[in-house]
Amino acid sequence: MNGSHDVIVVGAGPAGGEAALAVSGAGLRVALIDEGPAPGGQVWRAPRTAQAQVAAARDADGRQGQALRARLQEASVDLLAGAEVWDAGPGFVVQCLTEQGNRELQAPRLILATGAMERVLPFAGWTIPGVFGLAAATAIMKAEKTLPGKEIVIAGQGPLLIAVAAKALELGLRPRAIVDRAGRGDWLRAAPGFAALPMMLTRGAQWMARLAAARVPILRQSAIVAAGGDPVLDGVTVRHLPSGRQTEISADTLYIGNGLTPADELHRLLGAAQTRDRLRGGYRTEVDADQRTSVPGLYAAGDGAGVHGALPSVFQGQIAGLAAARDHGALSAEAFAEQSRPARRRLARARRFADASCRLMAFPEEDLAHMPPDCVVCRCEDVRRSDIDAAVAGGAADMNQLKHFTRLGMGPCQGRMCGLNAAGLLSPGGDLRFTPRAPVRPVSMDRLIGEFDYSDIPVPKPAPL
Amino acid sequence: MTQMTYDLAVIGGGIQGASVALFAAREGMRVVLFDQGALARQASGTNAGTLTMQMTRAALIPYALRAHEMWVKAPEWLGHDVGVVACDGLSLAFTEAEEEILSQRAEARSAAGAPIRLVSPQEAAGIEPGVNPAIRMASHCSVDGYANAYLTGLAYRRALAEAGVELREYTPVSGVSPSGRGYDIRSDGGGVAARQVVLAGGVWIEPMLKWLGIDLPIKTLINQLAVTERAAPVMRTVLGIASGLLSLKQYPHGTVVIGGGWQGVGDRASGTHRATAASAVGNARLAVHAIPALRHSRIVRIWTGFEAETADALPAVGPVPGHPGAWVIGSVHSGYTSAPYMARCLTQAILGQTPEMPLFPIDRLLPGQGPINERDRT
Amino acid sequence: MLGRVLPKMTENEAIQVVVDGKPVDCVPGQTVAGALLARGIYRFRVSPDAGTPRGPFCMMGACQECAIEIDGVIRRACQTPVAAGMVLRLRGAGAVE
Repeated sequence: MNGSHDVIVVGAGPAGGEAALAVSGAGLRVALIDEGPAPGGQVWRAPRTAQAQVAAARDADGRQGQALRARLQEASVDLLAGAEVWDAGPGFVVQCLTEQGNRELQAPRLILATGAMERVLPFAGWTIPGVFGLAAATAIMKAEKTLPGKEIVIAGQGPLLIAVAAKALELGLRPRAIVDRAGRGDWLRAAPGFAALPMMLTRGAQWMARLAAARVPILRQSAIVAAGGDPVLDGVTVRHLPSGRQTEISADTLYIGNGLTPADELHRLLGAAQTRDRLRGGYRTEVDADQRTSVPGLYAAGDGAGVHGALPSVFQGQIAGLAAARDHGALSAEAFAEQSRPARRRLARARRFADASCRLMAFPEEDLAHMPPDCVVCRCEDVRRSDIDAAVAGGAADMNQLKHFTRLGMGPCQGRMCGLNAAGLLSPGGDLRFTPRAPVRPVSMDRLIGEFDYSDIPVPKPAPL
Repeated sequence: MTQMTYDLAVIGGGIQGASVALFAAREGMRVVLFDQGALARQASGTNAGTLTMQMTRAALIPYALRAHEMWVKAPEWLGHDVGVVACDGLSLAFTEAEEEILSQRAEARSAAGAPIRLVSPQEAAGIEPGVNPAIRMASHCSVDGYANAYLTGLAYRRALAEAGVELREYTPVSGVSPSGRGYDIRSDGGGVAARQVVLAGGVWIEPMLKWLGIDLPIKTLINQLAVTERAAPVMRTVLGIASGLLSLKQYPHGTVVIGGGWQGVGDRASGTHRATAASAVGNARLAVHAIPALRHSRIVRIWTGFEAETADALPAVGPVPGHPGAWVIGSVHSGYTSAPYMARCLTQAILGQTPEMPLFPIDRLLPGQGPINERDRT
Repeated sequence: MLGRVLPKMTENEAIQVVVDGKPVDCVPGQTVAGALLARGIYRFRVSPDAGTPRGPFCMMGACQECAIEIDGVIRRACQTPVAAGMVLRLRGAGAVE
């Protein structure tokens, strides 16, 4: 399907969905690609089971997701659901894996809306089954209206802590504890920012009230320092950071998250300029006021370009879509200014809330140094901190060398879980990253090759004898 | 910094240059080794690591066999691990045309000394149980195997340090010119003087030879490879195909490396290269056709790397004409396999001895000159 | 090719998958990971290098810890919906037979 679209959008979450709608609203042909079965991304994740669907109709996020999906269905957006993008090259040529085989799309403009993923500060035992990310909890609650576990501990930092705990209560599960790195002071400092969006603040306050009513203990300025159990989790060790005092809590399930980080593999692969930005999740992709990146024809919106949260993502997506349409010539300067004005206004208002949220979610980089030697850093390849230290002592000075010394980053997650943490150990405060390379995700062999005959495979002249 | 003159400057820290530097240093020479980046980061670090006779040109078989012996004994001369595994090799034929090619190649290589023989599908399946039963014939070589290319740089860096070679990585050389004492090598941050110089720059040998006024066209190939995640064992030999378009092996830790010379895109001038989806798909199809169980796995990395090739696809190893004390080594084709032995022979020449096997002088490739002798044409 | 819309959700009738030879009831629409977790199965595989027990972690398709053999191919359990008769083997990359 070469050149059959004017714009390709990768990622059908709030940012990507809105971008695609803006593009198609301007009369252009747009392809919207997402690996999930339906649009919504993480925060507006489509319900998968009947029970979840019923619940989604009653929930604010759920209703917004349904609304987006409905609008996309009505619009003339070419939706490729269940399609995994594994390469994007100049021009822009995008490769995606589908049930039917590999599919190549091309369009002169590309909007990346790939969202964010979670970061977790490694601790002893974090690989034990029963330890999940915090966003993992919201993922399964939204999709399936269940939450695994009987004795649950919820840990980490940021508003997601409270959201997950409150939603667990709704499911009839009372968490044994909430373990929050932040102290009351951190939350108080965030309050003015949260107040910029009163509805969100109210929702948060309601969650807190429910947790208080259910007497869920909140251990403040505390962190999980160890998880134990074989073969599955049976307990966690919590340390009160200021005093060093430790408590054991028996638990069969731990949901833990230390903030979000952009899923920026494609941004980096395409050479978009980036800057270190702790508040935005580690790195942000540089964009102008219209969400254009440093690469002509390439736009970036949503958490994939720098973590802001769901609401700003919506508005960034709208602006990016409109900008792509404008740059294509489908919108006059005046129409573009007028149509993007509401989104810009709302984006400005949402920023304060976003920054307050992001401050609470900022990854505790300085604590990487305290990681115990036998703590696993690269989960895929079981590379421990001590292995990294040995590699450094042996002369490894960059991520490539570290990779060759230890195999860190060579597993199927391709460094997603370990890259930033390893870089932080290798070069604290530095700027080391893996070289971006396609495929940006593991590629299933059966999907890549599709159906073929041996004679289909092109064979050149035989090599010289 | 003293105005000391090195005995030998090697330009290019791939496996050819690094091996020459290593051997020369062990013979007592004072050696400096330059690379524009990290050691073995280009072709030497990105190839499939295959140590095979089955894709080696007949004329190079004697060299590859001796190099294979060296690889198997790497602890003795390299001293550090590159993960060498010696095993059987099978090259497969799926069609009548492929059977024809396979027979010709097996015969030529076996005449050159490689222990290669043709086997039936049943025997091939006995050697490699996971092979596609649809093969018509295979050629089997008992001297085959692989190394772990990405460990090359690490291993050589240690060995070179132990041998006292002065290693200057991330130091591009901008020129080489004859001087009273031998050669002046220019680079940022201070050049060096050396009595002899070896140009071992892989695809960059062409611009390097131009420094000395020699015009030797070197074709830049962009080889594409892929590797799966760790998987349960599915194969135990090194596999190829008659057309040469597939190389397949499974490492002890379970990953399967898929190669075969499928081309990516890129060029020497920019120094950049990238993979193509078409090559990824074609290469993967061949792999799954050869070992059907691979259908269940996932590819986690695809990469590309340079490979140098001369006009007659034979090595450029020997003296630089008109420049006593200047040498070139590269474009070996199956260079990773043969490198240690090629380097040993060249080092002998550098030391003023007669190399134990003939080199491949480049005079034959220079404009206005024919082949030095007929043997080079096979 | 038009994208698929979410299938119409009907009743909560259980469907059955086979996990290491044993039948397991699941709810239509569940992911394989969701179904196994709902049954209290947390350990899906072992890590290839150290052989330590592993199970789903991120539930968003990034960590690959839930990648197991689903109908003979390695797939992420958290991204794969259950289907009647689906055959699951709780082993992933690198598992020893």
